[in-house]
Amino acid sequence: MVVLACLGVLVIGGCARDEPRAAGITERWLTAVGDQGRNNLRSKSERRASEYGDQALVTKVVPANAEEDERSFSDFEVGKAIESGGTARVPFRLTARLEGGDTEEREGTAVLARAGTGWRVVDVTGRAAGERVPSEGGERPSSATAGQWIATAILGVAVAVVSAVLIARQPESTTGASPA
Amino acid sequence: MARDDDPGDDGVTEIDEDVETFVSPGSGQFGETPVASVHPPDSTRSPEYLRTLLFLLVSATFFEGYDNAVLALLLRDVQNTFAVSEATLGLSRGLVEVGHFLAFFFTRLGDRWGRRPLLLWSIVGYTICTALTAISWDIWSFTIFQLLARIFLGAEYATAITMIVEEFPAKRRGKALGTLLACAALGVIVIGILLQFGIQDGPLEWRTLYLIGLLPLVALSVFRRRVRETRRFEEEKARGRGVVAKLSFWEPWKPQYRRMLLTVGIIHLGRSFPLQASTAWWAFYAETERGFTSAQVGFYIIFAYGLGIIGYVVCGRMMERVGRRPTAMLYFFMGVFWAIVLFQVDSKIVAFPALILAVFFGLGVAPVMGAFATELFPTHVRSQSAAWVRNVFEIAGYIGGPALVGLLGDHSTGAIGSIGDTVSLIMLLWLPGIYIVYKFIPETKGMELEDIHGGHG
Repeated sequence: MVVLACLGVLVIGGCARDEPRAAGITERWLTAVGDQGRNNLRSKSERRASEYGDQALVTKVVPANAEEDERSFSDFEVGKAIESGGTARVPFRLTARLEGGDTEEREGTAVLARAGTGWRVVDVTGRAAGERVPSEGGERPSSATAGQWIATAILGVAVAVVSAVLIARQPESTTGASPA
Repeated sequence: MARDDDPGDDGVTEIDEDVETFVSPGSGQFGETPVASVHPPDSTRSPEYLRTLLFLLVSATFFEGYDNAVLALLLRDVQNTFAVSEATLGLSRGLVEVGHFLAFFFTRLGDRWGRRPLLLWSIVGYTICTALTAISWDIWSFTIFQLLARIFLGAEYATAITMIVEEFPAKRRGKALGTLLACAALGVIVIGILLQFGIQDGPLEWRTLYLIGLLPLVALSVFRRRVRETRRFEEEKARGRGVVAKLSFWEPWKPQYRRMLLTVGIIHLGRSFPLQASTAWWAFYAETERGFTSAQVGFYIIFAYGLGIIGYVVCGRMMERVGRRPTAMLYFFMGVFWAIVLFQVDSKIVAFPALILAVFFGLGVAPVMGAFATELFPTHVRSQSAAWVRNVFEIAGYIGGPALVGLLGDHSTGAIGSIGDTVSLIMLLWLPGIYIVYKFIPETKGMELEDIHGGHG
């Protein structure tokens, strides 16, 4: 079972995309930026944020009166990336924690540029018309394809058949009751 | 316990190398002299005793829900305290779940030492590990203490179910199992309520939740001494004139049990894989893909589990009235349906009843699953079979389900890139379980264990 599990992880790990999604990079950048609010996480999260975007952009998403020693965002959400040439625009919405326990809803769009095989956040701007996150009726950043739904349905049938064959090949149980 | 080193002790039957004595209830336990006992067990248990027993056992499932909820909802706080990366946190989480698997080796001792000693020792071990978790100093000490806590909790959980099945008469067994397992949801609700009060924001942060849990645990360690050894275990011991054969690790895989073990194991794996995939990721999904705030997630969890808990009770009664098989098939189908609705709809209004019904059917089917894992095996292998089902088949789903969602649903590099869609797809893999139940599981409604196993409980 362990061997099968390891093989499964390897196969599934092999299914990972070579090129990260722009929306996913934006999400990781926002996570790292938000973590900079905690004193004990600041240096590590600054390094993480720098991997995905420009550290100078932090002031564009974190309010000046953000709560001390607390994650800067209590929650955030990103929308589907709109790609055009070598850039992508990803709408986002977040709830920032402010001094005194207040919160502030903020929204904007992260602008990303291609960097090697991935993306990098290079600017944060206001939203353009039609840019929305899923909770506002916008498209999801990514969805399963029809092929993936069909393949899973087929896999389900295969699981049922293989399980039934495996069980049927075993000797009858000594349990007195029998299936209806 | 094996006493090959002192074969001449009075009161100890001389035994073959592969045979052991039982520790009689209420006498010596680990490391003490085992005494072969042939006292005839009570033929029945009084309703008062059964009520007390149930009350003293519910902590096993309560803390199962409580601990899982702490990890699911406060993982980020733990991460903040120890200042570690998500990768380290993920590794820690995986290692903690391995404790459920290791519990298998501890649980199987219940067939040798008896249910009572195992129950008493598991609560003591769990209490100590919970206290140690609260004072853990880095992510690795936290991981080790939680892993050890999972070992004791897993053993306690499996033993509690076995005791219910062995002590309660057939007509009340389903209801008792339903009550026992419903307390897992109660543990989640308590965490939800504590989070609403901001307990985790106090000076001790998440550690407070583990310290709060210590109070009832210490009380239980004392009061559980009132629990007696199960009647059926005593009978089994008496039938063996004080000695029983030492069971092999592979006993439940012998030809006469293998088919049932495989059937029940596959059904449990088929449920735990998608179920854990959904429960471990719902809060994350709701916040990152549906725009829920943390407060909304807490609110939804309290009400969903509060109302969904009825699913356990309904399941317990339904399996006695219409039978185990139809109850399981209905709950499986509805569990899949409402979970997919939950992870697909955009509307928070629709998501609310969907979450309640997903909990009602998805988690609420636990009583019938508990019945499958225990009733369908004879007494002398019941504890071991239940341990195989729970700590190997089911725990494989605990580890694999959430990991698969993380790999496929990763927003940046996952092949699907959506947690909601990944969980929905994995949910489909629960459906084959309906066919397996229909085709291979016998109906045991209203049957005493002796009827199921041809007079040998």
